[in-house]
Amino acid sequence: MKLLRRAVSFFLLCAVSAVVVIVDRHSGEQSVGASSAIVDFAGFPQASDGTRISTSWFCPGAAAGDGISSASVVIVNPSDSDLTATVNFLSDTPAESQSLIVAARSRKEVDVLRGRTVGVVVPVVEIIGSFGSVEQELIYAAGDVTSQCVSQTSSTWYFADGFTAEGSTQRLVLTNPFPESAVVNVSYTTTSGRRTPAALQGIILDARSSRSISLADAGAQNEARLAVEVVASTGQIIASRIQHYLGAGRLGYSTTVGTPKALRDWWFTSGRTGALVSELLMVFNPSDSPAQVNVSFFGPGITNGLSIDQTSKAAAPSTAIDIPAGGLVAINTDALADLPKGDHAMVVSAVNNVPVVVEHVLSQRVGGSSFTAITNGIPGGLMSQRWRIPSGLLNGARNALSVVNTTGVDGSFTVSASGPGGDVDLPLLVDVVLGAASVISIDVPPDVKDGEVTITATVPVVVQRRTTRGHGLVGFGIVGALPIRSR
Amino acid sequence: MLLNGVVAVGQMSPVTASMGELVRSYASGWWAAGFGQVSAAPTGIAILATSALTTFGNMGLLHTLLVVMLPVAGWLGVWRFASVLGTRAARIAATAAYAAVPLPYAAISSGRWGALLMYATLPWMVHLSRMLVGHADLDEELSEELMAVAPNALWRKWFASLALLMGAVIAFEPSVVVVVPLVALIFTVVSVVHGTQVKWAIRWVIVTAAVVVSGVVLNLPWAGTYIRSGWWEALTGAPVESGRNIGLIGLATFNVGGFVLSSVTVALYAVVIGSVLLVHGVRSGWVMRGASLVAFGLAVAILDDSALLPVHLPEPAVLLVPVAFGIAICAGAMGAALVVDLRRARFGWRQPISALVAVAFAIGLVPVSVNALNGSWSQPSLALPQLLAQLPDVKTSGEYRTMFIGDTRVLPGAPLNFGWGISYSVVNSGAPTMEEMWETPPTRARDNAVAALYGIVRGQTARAGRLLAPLSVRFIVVPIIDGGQSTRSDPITAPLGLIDSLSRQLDLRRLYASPDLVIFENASWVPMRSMLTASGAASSQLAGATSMIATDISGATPLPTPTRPEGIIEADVEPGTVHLAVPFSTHWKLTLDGNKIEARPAFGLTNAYDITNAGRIRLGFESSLIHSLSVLLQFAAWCVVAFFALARPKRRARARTSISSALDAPVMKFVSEDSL
Repeated sequence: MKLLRRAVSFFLLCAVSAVVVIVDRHSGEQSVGASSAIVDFAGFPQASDGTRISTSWFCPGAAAGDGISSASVVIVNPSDSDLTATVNFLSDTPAESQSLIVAARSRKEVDVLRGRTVGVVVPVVEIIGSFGSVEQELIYAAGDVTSQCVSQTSSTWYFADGFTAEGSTQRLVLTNPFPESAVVNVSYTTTSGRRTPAALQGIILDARSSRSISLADAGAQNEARLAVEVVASTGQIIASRIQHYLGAGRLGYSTTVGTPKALRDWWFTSGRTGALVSELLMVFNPSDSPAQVNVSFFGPGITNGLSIDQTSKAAAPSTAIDIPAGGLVAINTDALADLPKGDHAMVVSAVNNVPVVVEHVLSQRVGGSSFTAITNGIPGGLMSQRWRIPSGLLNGARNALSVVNTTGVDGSFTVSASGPGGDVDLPLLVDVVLGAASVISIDVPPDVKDGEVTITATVPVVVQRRTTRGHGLVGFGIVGALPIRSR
Repeated sequence: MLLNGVVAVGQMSPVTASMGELVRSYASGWWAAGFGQVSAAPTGIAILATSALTTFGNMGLLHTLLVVMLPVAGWLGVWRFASVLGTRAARIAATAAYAAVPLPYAAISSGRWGALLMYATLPWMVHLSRMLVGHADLDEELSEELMAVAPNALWRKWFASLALLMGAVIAFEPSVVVVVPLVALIFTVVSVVHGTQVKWAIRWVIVTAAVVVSGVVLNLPWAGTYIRSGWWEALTGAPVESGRNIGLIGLATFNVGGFVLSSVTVALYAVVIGSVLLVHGVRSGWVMRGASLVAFGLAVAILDDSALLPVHLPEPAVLLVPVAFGIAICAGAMGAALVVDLRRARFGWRQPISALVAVAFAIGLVPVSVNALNGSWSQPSLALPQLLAQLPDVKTSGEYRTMFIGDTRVLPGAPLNFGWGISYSVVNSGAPTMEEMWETPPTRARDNAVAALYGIVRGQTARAGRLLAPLSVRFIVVPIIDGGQSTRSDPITAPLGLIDSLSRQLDLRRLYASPDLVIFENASWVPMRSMLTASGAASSQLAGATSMIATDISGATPLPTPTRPEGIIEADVEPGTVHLAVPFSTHWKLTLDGNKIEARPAFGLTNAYDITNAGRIRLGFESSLIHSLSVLLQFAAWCVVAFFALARPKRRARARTSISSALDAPVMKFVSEDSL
């Protein structure tokens, strides 16, 4: 009996020891830590449908000295309850702020310049809660401008397009919303190559301030090709561009936040070809390796109605175009493919995995006048089934919305608008069929209320809109919609 | 270490308060750790204050002695325990083995004071428990283990001693209520398997349960704060979600801190194997108990190390104490066997193996000698608190709090698990003190801090600084190298993305960044006792994120700093709002020129007092009568138990009943019946 007990005890000990040895070969998985706070593409305009405590919106800013009639931020509250927001006005003077309540299912415009006649003011909007979105609007005789705001800072910013030819002006606006100074280096690339002016190196950007830099004053005078690279060696910032086109084939006014990251795929839905149209894709390669890109087009006469097994010359990707390391190349879409006249969408893809930055420049003569619309690309990673347009659409506007189906599967989409009565699907814009790889431009019904518009699709799409320039001016501006991302 | 004092690494934070201040804090009913709260303070604070009597109030000396003397207490405990094995050789071998395991020295090196306390007390607790259970001292004449019940008076004395010990250990290291029952459970099972009658074996469970309950009762009312959700983590500490991954070799060599040649100590396990193979007869029961402690202890430690258990367990330094004790038991049994059994046996295979075991054991003793040479036990020359000395003095800049975020192993104070491999702790001013080593129960203030952490860790807001501002969190520190568990040669990296996400917070400025730690300063903070700005005062009327995020409340004027957190301050103020950054409580009384000003919630969290006229204010904490009574009651309970523990049983009664009592026990004795 004693021996048996001893044997049992010994066996138990051996069994436990074996377990110890076996378990020792297992190792735990690494915890995710705070990595979920670092969102891919966070520096691009987008909205989140997750629960949030607050959202910061950094807008491009307005230059008081440019003669604009007014500048405002539009805060839209599509929810059923009132929303509290604070607008911080960052400039070269101590920051000011204003808190406000935006009533449920309404919008509020807040003046940005607040009586200032000189300098640049950058609005940073803090919205408490999970709802609400923000855009910036400028009223200007040379054409009203709607600009998107972004929700995250970055240490790098790129501008593939720039223009100072024939008296055109370009300002770079650097904003530091943090309570500590940032150190920023700016370089630019022209047809003559890359330059890093000493005056633009080691720029100290004070805490909670913004600063405007004239590219012409920095040596980039009379340049028709001008890419800018902003790198914060200390801290994170927002970089935006205020552009006034006055000649050399361009006319108009534009403000936009830069592109925080070079990527492989860039989508544009509001392209156009025509006799009086000049369409350029400005491709900037900020890396040290040469890049190669091609362009694929979508739209009526190209991919619309084309079944998946059919081929079309126009639908095929273009030949690869070399973008030298640190170089800037302007791609004229007319020269690239035999495209039918009219509207189209396109995607610029880096074929050798070297990321690039792409902007779309559309200039058109209409009657005796002309206009230039310029827009950043939408990254392929931001394709979404839901998109939001904070400041809504203009009643009765034609071709106001361009939607491209980025998949090879047929889909549909519905456009709804938020008003006092809640979300309402727009007449004739319910379950609109959107074929595989097709583009559709839609007109806005005449009775749309002045509220946020949401596009809900059954397949991943990319959405851009055309905005009116006001003041009886011809043409339009092009602004992306906000993809809604799940968190 | 005796000459230079203990480096404040890990849990070995200094005691900054005097004996009297500790007593007053304990009696006040205000627990200042974390964000503060109206609650019974940990019993440990009162014990610390009482312990200071031994050093005549010299808290620095007390701090040093509380580290230096604990291993010695453990060795003495094993010496007393090994009396059960019946020979002096067993006592010597067991004590030598217990002293040779790297655990206490590694714990000193990495600042695991809780483990050191467990190392010091577990042998005493097992020793008292085995006498209460009835394991009599072994004798050469016995053929099997003898079980007996001690006389009532003696039994009562032992039980009181054990309850007192358990109460004191719970007061500092609550995970003892997990570890000691685990040991008792192993002993019960092994005893049954080994042939001990169930009625005796089960006494391990019963005695332990009674002692644990008694210890908990002695810690009331503070122990009552554990009755809440999250009690398990409060007992066992914040987990390392992905597992610590120390590995079997690391655990087997007690690699929980700096110890030179720790791998050589694996030779000590030779006595475990040797005793299982060689020891038979009356001591085999204790061999199996000791070996089982080693095997099950390592198994549990490795399972927890790999995060394979459904719940996490106390840190490995604590879990390994039973392993060390198991080695000591086996060594004791082996020592006794060498002297008694083998001396009588004829030459055979046992003698060479015994010699091999003895040689291995001797080799295992070498590292501790080597490590003892410089006397510092590998304590780091530079630890986290010294790096935090750069933070401003609260006397000059206003009182503030510091929040530490990162891996739980490198956080000072009492880390709380946040999730996703991240923990946090909050201390008053920059560096933690011993009084901040206990985990505080949740409050609305803590919930608000957790919301801010969600903002940081999950990217739900870029204004976490403003959420922390009313709580006076001025600095957010991400420790990477604490000098204890994380060293330059073996660093524990900061949680993935944490520093990046903190860098994206719009109210945090990076004050200091090095491979050791990163310090962010919250630009929106307000001092703990302050006069709010006009916008801050208006904002304080509201509640929730709206009140905190929408307005920058920075710029508040600090009020004087009291010597103790619950202390009284007086100041001349202008009309405005006095803000006290503690969870809202009417126990904080403010008078203006002698007239009481009612407290109101500020930001839905803290205390505010609206001052309409200029004058002199007096702000202080007022204890409740119920709390004062409960403190008195607790004091009385400790005195009663101490009386039973220290009082000597009457001679006459003892003489009549000390020899007894198992039916099959012709002779029995408890070596310790005369003294304990």
